[in-house]
Amino acid sequence: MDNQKQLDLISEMIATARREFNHNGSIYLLWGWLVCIAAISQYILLQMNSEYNSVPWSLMIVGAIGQIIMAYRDRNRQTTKTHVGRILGRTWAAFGISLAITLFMMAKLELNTYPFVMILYAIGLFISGAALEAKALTYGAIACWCCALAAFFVGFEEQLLLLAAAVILGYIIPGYILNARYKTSQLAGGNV
Amino acid sequence: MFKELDPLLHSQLRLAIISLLVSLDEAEFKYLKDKTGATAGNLSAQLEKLKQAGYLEVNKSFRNNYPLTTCKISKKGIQAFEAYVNALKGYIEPDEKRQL
Repeated sequence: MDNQKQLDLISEMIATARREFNHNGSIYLLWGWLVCIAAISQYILLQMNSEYNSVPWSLMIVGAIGQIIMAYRDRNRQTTKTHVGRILGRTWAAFGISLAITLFMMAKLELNTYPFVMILYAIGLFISGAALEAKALTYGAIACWCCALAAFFVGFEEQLLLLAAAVILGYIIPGYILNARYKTSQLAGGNV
Repeated sequence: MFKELDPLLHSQLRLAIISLLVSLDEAEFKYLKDKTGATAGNLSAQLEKLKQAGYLEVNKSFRNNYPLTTCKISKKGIQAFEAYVNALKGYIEPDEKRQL
């Protein structure tokens, strides 16, 4: 094997391994849609003066079950572990822990938590955008920061609409873009 | 002065294995077999050589009652790969200059 062929082989194998970094966006779509539906449903129920207005948030249990199923399926399907995957796993684990503390403890202080929730969304999305080289996630993070800033100046009901906007821009749209990119890369058998 | 190329990496399959693993945290045997197109027997033999040299860590376990072999490049393996690529560049750059 001559030297140029060896370098070509190295480049080809590194490009092959890089394909494993692709993300199909399913987790962003799952949580994006669930939070969006829950936030808009609560807003509508509040307009109807329903005392059960917080019931839509029980959808988060569906999200947790969905995530466990996806993690189990991925575990059986994935034949590699990547550095990017490890960093993203840690980032979203940190997000989950921070979100749980924010949701449980901020209520103790009688503060509206949604602006802080959107700030946490933005942190996770911003890091994911860089790790997955997905500008849609980075723009989604910026949109979440903007929604969070705006949420400090409005009441609780309007915050729900801002939360829905944040997940549409931060999770749902980037989720579909990642999904399309993933499908293209699978069809082409190469890096996108 | 040309640097000597590491004889262990101067083989198409072993170089392919190391090049894949250098970009990943770890990979299963099945993945390496699919991507390199090697036979299971040949791949096992080459993995063993790389493991003996300390370039790889090979872990054997079970998943869903099936044996699972995962491979991970070691620090020594990364250093050897980097040294190999640098040595290779040394061979190619004089060739390019000669052509000019």
